[in-house]
Amino acid sequence: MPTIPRWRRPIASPHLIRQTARIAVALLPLLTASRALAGQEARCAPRRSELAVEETLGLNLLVNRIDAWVFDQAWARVSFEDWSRNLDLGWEWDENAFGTNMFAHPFHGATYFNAGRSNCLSYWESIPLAFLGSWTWEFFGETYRPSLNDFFMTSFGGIALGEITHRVAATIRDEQATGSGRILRELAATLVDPVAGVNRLIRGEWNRVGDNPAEHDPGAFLFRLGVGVRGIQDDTTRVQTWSPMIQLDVRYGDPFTRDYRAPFDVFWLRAQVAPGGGGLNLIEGSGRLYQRALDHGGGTRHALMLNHRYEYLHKPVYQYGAQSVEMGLLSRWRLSERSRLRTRLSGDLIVMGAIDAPVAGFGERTYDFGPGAGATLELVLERNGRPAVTLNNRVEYLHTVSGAPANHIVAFSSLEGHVTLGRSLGVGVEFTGATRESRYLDAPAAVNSFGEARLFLSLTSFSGPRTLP
Amino acid sequence: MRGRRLLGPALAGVALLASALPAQRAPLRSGLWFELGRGTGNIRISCTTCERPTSLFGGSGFLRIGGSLSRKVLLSLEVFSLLDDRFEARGTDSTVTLETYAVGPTVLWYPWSSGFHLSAGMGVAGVELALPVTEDVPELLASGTGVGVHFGVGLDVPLWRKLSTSASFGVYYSAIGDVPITENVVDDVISTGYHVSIALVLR
Repeated sequence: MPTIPRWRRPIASPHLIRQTARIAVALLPLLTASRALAGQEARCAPRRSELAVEETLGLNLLVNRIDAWVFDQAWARVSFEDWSRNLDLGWEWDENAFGTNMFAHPFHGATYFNAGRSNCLSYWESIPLAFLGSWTWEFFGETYRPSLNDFFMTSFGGIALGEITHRVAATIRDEQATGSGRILRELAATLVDPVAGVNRLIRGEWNRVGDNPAEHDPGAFLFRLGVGVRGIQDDTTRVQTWSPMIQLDVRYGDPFTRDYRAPFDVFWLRAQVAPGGGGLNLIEGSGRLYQRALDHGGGTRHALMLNHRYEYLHKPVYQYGAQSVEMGLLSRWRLSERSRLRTRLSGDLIVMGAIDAPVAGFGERTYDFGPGAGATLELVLERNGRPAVTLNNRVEYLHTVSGAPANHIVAFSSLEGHVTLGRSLGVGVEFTGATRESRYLDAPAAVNSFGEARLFLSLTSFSGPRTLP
Repeated sequence: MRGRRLLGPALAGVALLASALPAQRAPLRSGLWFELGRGTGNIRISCTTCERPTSLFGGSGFLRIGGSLSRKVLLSLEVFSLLDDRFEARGTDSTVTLETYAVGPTVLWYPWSSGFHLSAGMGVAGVELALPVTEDVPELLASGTGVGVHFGVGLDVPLWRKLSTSASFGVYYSAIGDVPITENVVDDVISTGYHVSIALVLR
C-alpha cells in the first residue's frame, strides 16, 4: 500500500461528504432565518453571566450535599476516585424508572436553565447552562457512571420546562402590586420557578415596585382547570383503570395576535394528575421558537412555525416521552365573528424519546431510548376565543439506540369537546386512542392499542380577543 | 501514540493563543460566516457489553456555516468528522478505517466582548468501520447512525479584515445504538470524542 503523507490523507470519507451535504441542504433554511430567530428579547438588566454559571454549579453542590448530609444517600458521597473513574469510563445508559428519567431530570434541568433566565440571560444564552449543569452533575454529582440518557433529558427537557416555568412565573408575579397580595404572588411564582424566586428574594425584589417584564403580559392567556374522572384500558388485556383526575391547560399567547418576539412567547401546556391512577400521568408542552407569517393579516391567517416540544405520558397501561423540535404550517380560518377554526400540520424530529413495549428495555428498565420523527394534524374549533372541539392525530417513529433492537411506531388520535355553562364554568369530555407497533430485529413484531376517556367539570380564565371582525 | 504526539502541541497552541492575544471589541463573526477547521482528537467507543471503552486517535476536521442571532449569540450548521485510518480492530490489522461523524445545528455564545466563546449543538451522529476497496471485500464493514450532542470552547483571533483564526476544544457525545459487524452485534454503542483544532473563519 503506497504511503500517503499525513497532511494529504482525507479527514472525511466520500460517503460521509455526500451524506452530510444532503443534511446540510435540508437544514440551510434554518440559517436564512437565523436573524429573525433572535427576535426581541424581553428587556432585563443587568445581565449577570458569571453569576448564572456560579449558580448552575452551586445548584449541583447544594443538591449533592443535601442528598449526602440530610438524606444520607450513598450515591451522593462522591470522592476523587469516583470522579476519576467516571471521567475514565465515560457514558453508559442507566436503568432508572420512567418517571425519574423523563420527568424528574428535565425538571432538574429547568433549574439550571432558569439560573440563566433569572440573571437576565436570553433563552439562547441560557441553553449552554442546561448542558453545563447536567454534565457536571453526571460526572461529579453521583458515584454512578454518567448516564447519557440523563444528559439528554436533563438538558433538552430542562430548556423547554425552564422557559415555560420562567414565563408562567413572570405571569403570576405583578411588580406593580404591593402588600400581602404581592408576597403571595411571589411565593406562588417561586413554587413554579424556584431559582428566580430565590434570586429575587436575595436581591430584595419581592417588594420592589417597578415595571413588569414583557413576559408578564402575553396578550392572550387561557387557564383551564378540569376536575373529573378518567378511564383507561389496555385493549389487548382488557384491563381497565378508573380514577379521579385533575387536568390543567395553559395557553400563553396567541400565534396570530402578536408577531414573533422571542422563543416561547407563545406556548401551550397540559398537565394531568390521576390520584390512584398512576399519579402524574401527563405533562405536554410546546413553545414557538420561530414563526413567519405567510399572509398580510385579516380573518384567515397562515404561518410557518418552529416549536420546541416536551412530552411525558406515564399512563397505567403505556409510557411514552420525548424531546422534539416540530416544524409546520399553522392556520386560522374565520368562520363567523365568534367562531374560528385553527389547523396545524407539522412534522417533528425527536432528539431523544422513550417508549415501553413488551420486550423493550435493558436490565431493570422496561422501555427503550431513541431518536425519531413524526407528524401531527390538529383541528381546533374555537368559540369566543376558547377551544370548543379539538381533533388531534399524531404518529411518531422511534429508532432504539438503547434497549431492544427495534423500531417503534406509535399513533395517537384524540377528540375533545368542551361546553361552556356560564362565564367560567364548563363541561369537557375527551376520548383518546393510542396504537403502538414495535418491530424487533430479533423478536416477532408486537402491536398493542389503548383507549382512554375523560369527563370533567372545568373552570376557565381567559383573556384575549373573543371575536374576529 | 500518533494522536498523542499531535495533541500536546495543539493544546499548547490553544493555551498560548488564549493568554498572549489581546481581546477584541468588534465581533469577528457577523452576517454569513464560514469556518473550516482541522486538528486532532481522541474517540472513545463504549457499549453495554464492553468492559472498557475502546480508545483511538485520529485527524479531525469540521466545517461550520453560520449566521448571527444577536451580537453575542450565533447559529451555525456544523459537519464534524474524526477519522482513524489505521484503526487496529483486532490488534493486528492496521488498515481498517474508523470514522465518527456528527452533523447538525450549533449555537455559539460569546459571553464577553473578547473572542472567547462557548458552543453547543445537536444532530445526526454516526460511526463507520471500513476496509480499503478490493475485488473481494466490500468497503463498508459496519455502520451505525444515531443522535449526538456536542459542546466546546474556542477563541477567535483577528488576522486580516474579514479573515480570522479560531482555536477550539470540542467534546462530542453520540448515541449510536446497535452496530452489527458480520454476524455479531455491538449493543447500544456510545461514542465520546474530544478534539482540538485550529480553524480559519471567513465572514
